[in-house]
Amino acid sequence: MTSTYLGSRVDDIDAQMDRVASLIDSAGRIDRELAAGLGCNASMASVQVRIDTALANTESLLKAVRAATKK
Amino acid sequence: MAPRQSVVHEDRSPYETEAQFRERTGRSAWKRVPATEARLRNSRLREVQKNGGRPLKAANFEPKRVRKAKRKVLIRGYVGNKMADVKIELADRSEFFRNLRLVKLQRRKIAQEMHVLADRLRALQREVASIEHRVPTVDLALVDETRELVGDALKAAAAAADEFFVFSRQRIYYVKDLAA
Repeated sequence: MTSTYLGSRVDDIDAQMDRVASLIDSAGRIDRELAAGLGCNASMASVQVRIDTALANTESLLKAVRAATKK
Repeated sequence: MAPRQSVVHEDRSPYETEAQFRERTGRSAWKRVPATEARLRNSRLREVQKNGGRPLKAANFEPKRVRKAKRKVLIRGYVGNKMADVKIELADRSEFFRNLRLVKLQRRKIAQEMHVLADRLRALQREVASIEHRVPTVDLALVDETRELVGDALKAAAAAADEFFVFSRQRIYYVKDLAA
């Protein structure tokens, strides 16, 4: 039985994304430039899409690892 | 009506001379005729006389003092609006400068957290890469694909984190209308 930290890494990243989202949300109330999206040239949506696909793939890899280690 | 006789004297003027006029009417041409009651009643001036001897309101400009009073009221209203605008902008400005330090702190914090996010993605990438040594029986194509996808996500997140870092280091200026 081999243990991996894939699941906890995914949870970490999710939590961090939540944290950044809440930070930007609260800062955007007094920061107009940030609220207008001047903080970052690339839109956060595209970054989020990439992270989401990576995390989804990681989940399927985790399933495969579990199936492989069960035998 | 019969055409008037001997009014036109030969070849010079279409109008009669004063002598002709005196002969015709029996009075001097330059004396005013006394205004009788019937004359006034038939006069073209009687419309004007009805209105106290003044033209109608719509026919003329208003007198100077009325104009001045009206203009003063207009100017006062304009200045009031201007003052209100300036007051609102001043309040906006002072709020901006009150929040300035907080805005700086928040921008730095967001940049830090974006870097942390990129770090965690890097950790996930390493974890995925180490799977193939830990669990040799797993599908290697899946591992490679996952590692590439995580790498893409890492690149995007790291670039965004760098941009946020630069943004947090920029000087903050007062902007009036950027976003609603």
